[in-house]
Amino acid sequence: MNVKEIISSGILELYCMGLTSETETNEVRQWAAQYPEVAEEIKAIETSLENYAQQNAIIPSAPVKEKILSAINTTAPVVDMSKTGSAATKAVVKQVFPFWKNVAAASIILLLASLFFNYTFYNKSQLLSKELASTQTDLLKQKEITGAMKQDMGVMADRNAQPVSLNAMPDVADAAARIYWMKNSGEVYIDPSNLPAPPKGKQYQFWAIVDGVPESGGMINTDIEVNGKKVHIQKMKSFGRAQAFAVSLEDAGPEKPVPSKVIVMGKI
Amino acid sequence: MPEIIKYTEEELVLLLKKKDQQAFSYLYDNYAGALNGVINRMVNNRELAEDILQEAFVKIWNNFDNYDTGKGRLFTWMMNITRNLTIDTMRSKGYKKQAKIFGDEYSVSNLTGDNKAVERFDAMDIRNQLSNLKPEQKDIIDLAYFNGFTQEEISKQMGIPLGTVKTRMRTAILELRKMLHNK
Repeated sequence: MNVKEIISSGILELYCMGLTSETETNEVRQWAAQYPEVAEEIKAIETSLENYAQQNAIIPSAPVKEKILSAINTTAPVVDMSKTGSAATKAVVKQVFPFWKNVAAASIILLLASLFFNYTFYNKSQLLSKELASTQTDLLKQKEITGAMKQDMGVMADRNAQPVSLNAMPDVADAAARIYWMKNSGEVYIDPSNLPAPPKGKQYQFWAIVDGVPESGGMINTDIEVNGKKVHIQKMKSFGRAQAFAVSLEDAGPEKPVPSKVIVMGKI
Repeated sequence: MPEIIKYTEEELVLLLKKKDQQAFSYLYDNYAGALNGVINRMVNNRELAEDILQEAFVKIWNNFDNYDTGKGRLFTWMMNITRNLTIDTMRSKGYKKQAKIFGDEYSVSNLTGDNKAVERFDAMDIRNQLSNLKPEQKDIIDLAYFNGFTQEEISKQMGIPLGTVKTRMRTAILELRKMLHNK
């Protein structure tokens, strides 16, 4: 076939429409490479068909383009598979790695920050609970002191309380005590804070002189201390009536029936 | 389709070989409508056509290395990919089932020249512009180009000898060229 025959046969049109067999297609390609006029004719036919398709265009809905663009972004590495295996692997790594790398980096930073704060807050909380415990102990001690003082005040401030001063006997260097006798109830309280500390193995006993006869009012406790301070006022046995009160120094042990060495005494 | 030429075909091909996404976006803007028109002619279902269009463009992107400028224009290559994909879809089980449900109106074999489904997509101006094209000339182009018919199928459909398909096609396209180039 000469060039004119080829062009006028209609085979080029079928070729451009993809309707030629494989043999025909190869034939046409050979002619196109051989004769510039054939190549030119093919181009003209293609252009006219392209224009025809453009004239019949139907604009697809907007989301289609978005879907395609996101699809090529996710399938991009697949393209490189056709080239070489290593290139494809590289592409995959390039796409996925930065994201996970950032996630991993962020996780580690968060973990470290969390550990730091855990440590800091744990220490702080330990310190605070220690401080709280010591504060509570202090408060308890203060309450005890306040309670004791309140009791002292209560005794001294009672309008029925009759104070009786016990003064040192002539042969005693320096000692004193004070009695608070509740006239309505007969209760007796003693403030022994001005008695000297008893020698080892000795202790003080309290007496009421009723109708000239000394009666024991109990042992005085000089050992009790609250927060470093002696308990000031303590309750002794009650006496409905008495003419005088006294404190004697006795050997440690049970109450004695009679005083052996009177230290302080006071009349009502 | 607005023809704002940003790239020459050579530039476009070069950029697409380098996997340039902006060039691909341009390619889509300029050719998606034309390809979508062809697919619509073939399947006559807008949703399905868009699915196939999507698949076609992804295939064009992924296989762009296979495009050889020496073997024809870019659009011809894209058109062949699109048409083959559409034919594959139409031959698939799912499509045949659907076509049966919708009746013969949507089947390939009924898309003859005087078929209303074909004309439905013709815009007014194109119809005027192509009005000089004789019905049998338009038919033979549309059957081949838009419906993906083989020479044998065209011969059968139009009731003309196989040998005549070539020359009829030649005459029809010559007429088309005259019209489109003289606009």
